Amino acid sequence: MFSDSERKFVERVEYLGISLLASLLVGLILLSASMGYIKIPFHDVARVVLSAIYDNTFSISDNTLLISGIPESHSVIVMDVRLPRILTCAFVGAALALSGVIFQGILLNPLADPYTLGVSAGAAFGACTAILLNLGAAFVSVPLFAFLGAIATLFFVIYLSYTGKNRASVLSSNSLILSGIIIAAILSAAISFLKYLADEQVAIIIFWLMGSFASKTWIDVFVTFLFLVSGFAVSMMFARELNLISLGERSASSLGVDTRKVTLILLITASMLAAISVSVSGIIGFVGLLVPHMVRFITGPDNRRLIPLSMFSGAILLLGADTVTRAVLPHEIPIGILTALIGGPLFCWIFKRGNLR
Amino acid sequence: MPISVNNLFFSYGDRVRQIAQVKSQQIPVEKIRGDEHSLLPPEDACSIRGIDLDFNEGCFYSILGPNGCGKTTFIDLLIGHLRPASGNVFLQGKDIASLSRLDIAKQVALVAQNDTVNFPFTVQEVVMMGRHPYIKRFSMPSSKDVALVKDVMERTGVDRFASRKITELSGGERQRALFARALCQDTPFLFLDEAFSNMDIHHTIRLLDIVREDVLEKGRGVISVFHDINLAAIWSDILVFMKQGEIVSCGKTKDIMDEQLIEDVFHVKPKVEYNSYARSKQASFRSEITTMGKSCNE
Repeated sequence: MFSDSERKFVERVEYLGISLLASLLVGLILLSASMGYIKIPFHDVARVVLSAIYDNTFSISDNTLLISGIPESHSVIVMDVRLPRILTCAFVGAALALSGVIFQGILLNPLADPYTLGVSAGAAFGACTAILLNLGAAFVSVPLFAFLGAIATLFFVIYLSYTGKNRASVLSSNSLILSGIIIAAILSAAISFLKYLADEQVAIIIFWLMGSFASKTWIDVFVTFLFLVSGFAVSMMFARELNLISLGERSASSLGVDTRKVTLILLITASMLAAISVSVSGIIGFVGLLVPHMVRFITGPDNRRLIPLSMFSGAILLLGADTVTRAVLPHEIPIGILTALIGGPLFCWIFKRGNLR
Repeated sequence: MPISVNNLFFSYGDRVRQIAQVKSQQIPVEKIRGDEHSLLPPEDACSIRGIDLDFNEGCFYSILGPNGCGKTTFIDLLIGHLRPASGNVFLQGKDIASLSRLDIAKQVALVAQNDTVNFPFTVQEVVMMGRHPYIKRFSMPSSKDVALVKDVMERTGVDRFASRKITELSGGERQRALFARALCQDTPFLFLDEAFSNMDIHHTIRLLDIVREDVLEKGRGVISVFHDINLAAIWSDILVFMKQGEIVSCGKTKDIMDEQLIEDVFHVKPKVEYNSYARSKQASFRSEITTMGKSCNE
């Protein structure tokens, strides 16, 4: 395993895996765009997308060659309705998986997920407040409030675990998880209270909490993409440090990792990813918990491989689930319910097999 | 008697004081602080007080003392994991507080008591982590790193389970892997915090011999916390006895190890004799203990 040729072989397998997953994702995006209430042939979707990319690259608006013979309505459906939803969904899947990897690493806990630190409860509280105050009409305010709620919760949780009397417990995994659980419990009581106050708006709150990718716009796509790319860059930069931290704070520190600095940076990165995901699409569970586990079976725990592969797998899984609920099921059900219904039993199965690592 | 030359200098309380005086003189309790937050309340007996000591390269030190007397805290202060309330730790002449973690990791390695291992890295990957301070961001280990890791794994006998997952190993095997990782850091100083607590006697002796060899040949300085007084006596040059956060005695094994000292520190009734087979002083015990004074842990 140590010889150069074998190392190259391992690297080649990794690149192969990543390119395989990437092409799978692209294929799934096109396939998903062709499916739905109106069936659009696969090759038409590809042509519409290609021509849009071409137009945007060369700023030509009257390129008719590629899309000749395709009804205008089809290209509108693909470009303005389906693709924004599909891309948002893929990016959110990747963001949730990535933040799951990071949380499991820094909290030293394979059971941690993007919502362990109460980020989702904070986002839900923010969204509920916006809905209750009837700010839902101004359509950015619910995601904005959700995002602010998530960030405020995150910083409060970090503040709580920063003030331990014992130096060793400052930002340690135990104190973070405990603070997260306490805050989440308080916030969920507050959300119940808001629901109680909400009267007829309670349906909107409940629907929001269950998560959905319906009617996403290109703005959502760009915002999530921006967060995803910066999150990916930061996490790859600290991937080796994350490996060391996942083996314990004291030894990571003796191996030259400034554990508190790195923990704080990664914590904020992962929480930002979770926050943007929740605010765009509501609460979607199990992706962040399950995907890193499944990928870890294949890659092992080294974050340098785990991070990119988890992101692709998360995107593929969530997009698959969203396509099923949008285009296959007779009636669209909230995506959060679907991921929990599929992910939960799957998790039970993995747990029973004793591979929970 | 204090030890000479300043390589790793630890002083606490800004007062130059000889170890002999530390024993007799009552020193006010001071807080140990980790940044703004005090580690221990000031009234707590388990804190480190007024210690002046040099640790040199090319020498094997053993720290002995009852549970909760501050051995691990002392080590944490020495490796810069904790910050003292006052006083300084100097590593090769530089204040350790002014050095980055990465700089410290190139000078000082630690084998911790029991590391949490929650993720199934292979033993080989774990040992390679010892090279972390030397590998640049985004780059792969160099062939020198690979060769060193291979060499250390062979020396420590860890190569037999190199491709197994660290989570599946027994406690002793895991400790050996973490030991190999620390050796790979290739530092002038090595700290062992009860590094042998789960290891069988064969591997304990094997690793102690490796450490001893490095002390003699590479001039490495080793500071080790032991529970087994006799093992410490065989392998170390200098014994450091701690009690309730103070160093009560410190010196060469043949000079300071005696029945009175061990009774003072551990509240047992030993018999200390030179053992020609072990080539060192050895203590034997029987079922007899003396009453503890006010102790900090029970």
